[in-house]
Amino acid sequence: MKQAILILLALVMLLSMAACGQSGTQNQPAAQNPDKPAQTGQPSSQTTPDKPEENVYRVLRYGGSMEPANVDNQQNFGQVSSVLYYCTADYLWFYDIEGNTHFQLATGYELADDLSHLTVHLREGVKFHNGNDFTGEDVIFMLERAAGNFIHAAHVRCVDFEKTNCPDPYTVEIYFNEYNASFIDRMSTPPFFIWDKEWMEAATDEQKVTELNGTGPYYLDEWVVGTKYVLKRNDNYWGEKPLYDEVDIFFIPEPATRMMEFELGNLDICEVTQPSTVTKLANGGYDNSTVFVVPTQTLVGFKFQMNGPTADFWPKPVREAIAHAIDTEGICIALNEGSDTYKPATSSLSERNWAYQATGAFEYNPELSKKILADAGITNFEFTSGMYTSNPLQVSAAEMIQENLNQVGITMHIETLNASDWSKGNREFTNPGVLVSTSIGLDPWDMFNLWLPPSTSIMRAPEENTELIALLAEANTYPDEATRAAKFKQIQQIIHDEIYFIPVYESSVNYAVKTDLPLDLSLFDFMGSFRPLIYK
Amino acid sequence: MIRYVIKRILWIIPTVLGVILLLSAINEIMPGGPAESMLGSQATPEAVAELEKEMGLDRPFFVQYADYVWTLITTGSLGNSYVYKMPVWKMILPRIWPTAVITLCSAFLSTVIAIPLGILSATRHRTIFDYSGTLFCIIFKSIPNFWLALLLLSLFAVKLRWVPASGYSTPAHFILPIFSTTMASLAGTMRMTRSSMLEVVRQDYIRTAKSKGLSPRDVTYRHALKNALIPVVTMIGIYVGMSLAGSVIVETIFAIPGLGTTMVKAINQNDYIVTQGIVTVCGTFLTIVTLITDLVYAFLDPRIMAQYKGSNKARPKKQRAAGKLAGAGTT
Repeated sequence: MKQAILILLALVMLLSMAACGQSGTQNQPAAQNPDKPAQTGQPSSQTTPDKPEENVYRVLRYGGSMEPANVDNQQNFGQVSSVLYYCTADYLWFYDIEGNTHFQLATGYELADDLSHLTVHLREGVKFHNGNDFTGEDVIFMLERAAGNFIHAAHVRCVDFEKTNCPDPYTVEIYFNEYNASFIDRMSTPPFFIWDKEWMEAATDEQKVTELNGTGPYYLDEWVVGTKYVLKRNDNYWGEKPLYDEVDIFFIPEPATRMMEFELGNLDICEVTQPSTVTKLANGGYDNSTVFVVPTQTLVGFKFQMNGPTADFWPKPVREAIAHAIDTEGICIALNEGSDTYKPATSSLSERNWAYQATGAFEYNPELSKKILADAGITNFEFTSGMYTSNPLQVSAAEMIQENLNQVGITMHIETLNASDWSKGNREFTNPGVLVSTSIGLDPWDMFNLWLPPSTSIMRAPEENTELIALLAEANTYPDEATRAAKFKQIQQIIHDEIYFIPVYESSVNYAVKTDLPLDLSLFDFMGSFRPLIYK
Repeated sequence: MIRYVIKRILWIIPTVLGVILLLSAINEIMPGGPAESMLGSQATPEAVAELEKEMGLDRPFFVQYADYVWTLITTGSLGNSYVYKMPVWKMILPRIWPTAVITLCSAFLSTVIAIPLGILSATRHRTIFDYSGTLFCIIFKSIPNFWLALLLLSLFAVKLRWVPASGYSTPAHFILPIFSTTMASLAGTMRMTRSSMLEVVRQDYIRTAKSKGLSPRDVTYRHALKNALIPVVTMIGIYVGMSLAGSVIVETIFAIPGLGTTMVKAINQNDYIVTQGIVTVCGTFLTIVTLITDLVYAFLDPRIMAQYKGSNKARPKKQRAAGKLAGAGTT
C-alpha cells in the first residue's frame, strides 16, 4: 500500500511538472476540421502584402459566442448572425465604420425633390446562390416582408413607406407616407439584407429559418447545429471574390473556452467579452496574437420612464440626485480591468456619432445628491429597476450603481427580466429607471425614434415637454445632414438639462486576432460586426 | 416478477403525462410568453394577441394540454418549435446522444471506480488509505464542476494538448466533459459506499460469518456488500438524474450542443414546446432509471424480490377471504 501511494504521488508530481513546463502556442490544424489544410501566413496590414499562394484551400475560422435561434434576419441580428449575413447576402448599399457609402445591389438612388419617394437603381446581372436572377421584385419583397412582419424593430424601422413600385426589373420606387430621413441609412441594417423572393415564397417555414439563398460572396453550405456554420465561397459572386475558400463560424458560448481554442490555434479571430482578456492580449499574453478594437456606438445609460402609471420618477430632484450619485469614472475603471474598453459617456449619443453634442457628464458628487434630496424633502427613496441583460458586465455595472445610490439614501432593487417579461414591462410601463444598452446605426434617429410619441417604449418623451416632442418630430424630416445635426444636438441638450437620460459608459467591441490576419476597420460595420471579406 | 416489470413499464405513461401536466401548468402560470419574446418590446398588444391565436396559445389550458397529449399518443409528435419552426423531435434527437454519452459514461465510471474504492476505504478503516479517500471526496465534492472543467481544459487541452478543448466530433472530445461530470458523483458514491459498508460490517451476522472462518473476501463481497449497496444504488440513480439536468454547465463550457443547452436556450426564448419536449424525454428516461434502480434492489435483496413476486399472490388471498365470508352467508 505504501509503495502504491508513493508511486501515485510521483505520478502527480511528474504531471504537475509537465503542466508547468508547457509554454507558448503553435498554430495547429483545428481538431474539428481534420480536412483543413495548413493556412498560409497572411501579411499584416503593416507589411507589404505578398501574392497569395495558388491552389491552397484557405479557411477562416471565426469564434462566435451564442448560436442564433435561426437564420432569419428579421429575427436575429446579433454578432454571429451578422457575420453569417455579411457572407451570404448583400444590402442595397452599405456604410462602413467611417460612414462612407458602398453600393452593393444598388448602383445609386435619387430622392425626389418633394421628398415623396426614393428611386433606387439596381445592379444588373446579379444572381442568387440557386441561380435565380436578382431583380426589383426581391427588393420589394424584402421591404414588404419587414413592414408586414411584427418582428422586432424591423417593423418599427420600416413602417414609414406607403407603397412601392417596380417600373422595370432594375428600378424600384419607394413612396413614403411622410419623408423619413433615416430611411436610407436603415437600408444598411440587418433586417434589410436581400433574399430571393421566389425561393422564400416556395420555402417551408422550416427552410426559411434554417437555409439561406442570397447573393453574397459565400453560401451557407452546412449548419452543424450547436457547433458551427460552414460557408463556402460563391464562385459566381458579382463582386470581387474574397481570398478565403471557406469561412467557419463556431459557436462557443463560454468566453474562457473560446479563448482557449484561440490560444490553441483553432480560431483565427474571435469575439472577446472579458476586459481582462483584452488587457492580456494587448500586453502580449497570447503568442502571435493581438487585440483589435472596433469603435462602435454602443452606449449604456440610465433611462427614466416619463409617461406611465409610475409617478415616482416625475420629480426632477430625484433624477438629479441619481445623476450626481453615479460614479461613472469609477464604474469604467472597475469594468475595464486594465483595458480601455469602457469610458464614461457624455451624452445620450455616442461620441462617435456625427450628431453628437457634448452635453457633459454629470459631476459625481454624492454630497450634492444628498442635499438635493434633503432640499426637496425626499427621504428613503426606493424603486425597482427592471433590467434585461445577459451581459454579466452590465449586471456588475448595475450593482455598482446600486451601491452608489445606497450611499445617498436611494435604494434601487434590481430585477433581471427575461426577454418576454422585459418586453411586456416596457409596453405596460412597469419598468422604471432601466439601465439599458443602446447600439444604434449611423443615424441618430435609431436612438431617438423611440422617444417620439406614440412610441410604446418607456423612453417616450414626456408629453408636457412640447419643445422636445416638436424637435423629435422635425429631426427626421429634413434631408440635409446639417439641419438634422443641429436639431439632434438641441435634443441632446434638452435631455441632459431635464435629466431624462443619464449616460453611464460607452464601449467598443474587441476581437482577439492572429497577428498575421490582415485586418482593418473596413472589415467591420458600425455595430462592430465582423465582415469576413478579406481580399488579400 | 415479469408482471411487476410490465406493470412498472406501464406506469411510465401516467407518470410522464403527469409531468407534462405539471410543466404545462407552470408555463400557464408564468408571466410572458413565446409570442412576446418573438415580437419584442415594440409589439402592440394586438400583435401579441394575433400571434398567440396563430400559435394556438389563446385556447383554454386543458384544451391545449389535451391536444398536446392526444398528438403525442397518436402520432408521437412533440409539436413544432415556436422559434425554429421545425418538429421538436428533429431538434432534440441530435442533442440527446451527446448528453446521454456524458451522463451514462460518467454514471458508469463513477460506479465502477467509487464502489471498489468505498469498499477499500471501509475495510481499511482509519488507515492512510481511508483518510486519503476522505480527503479526495471532500475536495471533489466541494469543487464546482464548472471550475473543475475549466481547470481541466487549461491543463489537458491548452498546456498539455492531450485532448481537444471543445466540440464533440471525436471520442476524445468527451474525455474532459465526462471526467468533470464524474468526479462529484464519484466522490459522493464513494463516501456513501464507505459509510454503508461500515454500518453493515458491524452487524452481528457479519461477526458470525467471520467467526465461522469465512475468508475476508467472502465476508465482504458475499455477505456485506449486497446489503451495503442498496443506499448506494439509490444514490447512483439520483446522480444520473442530476447529471442529466445539470449537464448544461458542462455542455456550455465544452461547447457541446446537448439537451441541457437546448433546454436553457428554449427557456430563454420562451419556446415552451421545446422545453416541454425535453422535459418529456428526460422524465421518461428518469422513470426508466427508477425502474432499473428498483430492479437492482430486487437483485441485491431477495426480500424485495419476494415482495415483487408476492404482490401477485395478494389478490388471491383477499379473494379467498371474501369467498369465506360469502360462504358463511349462504350456509
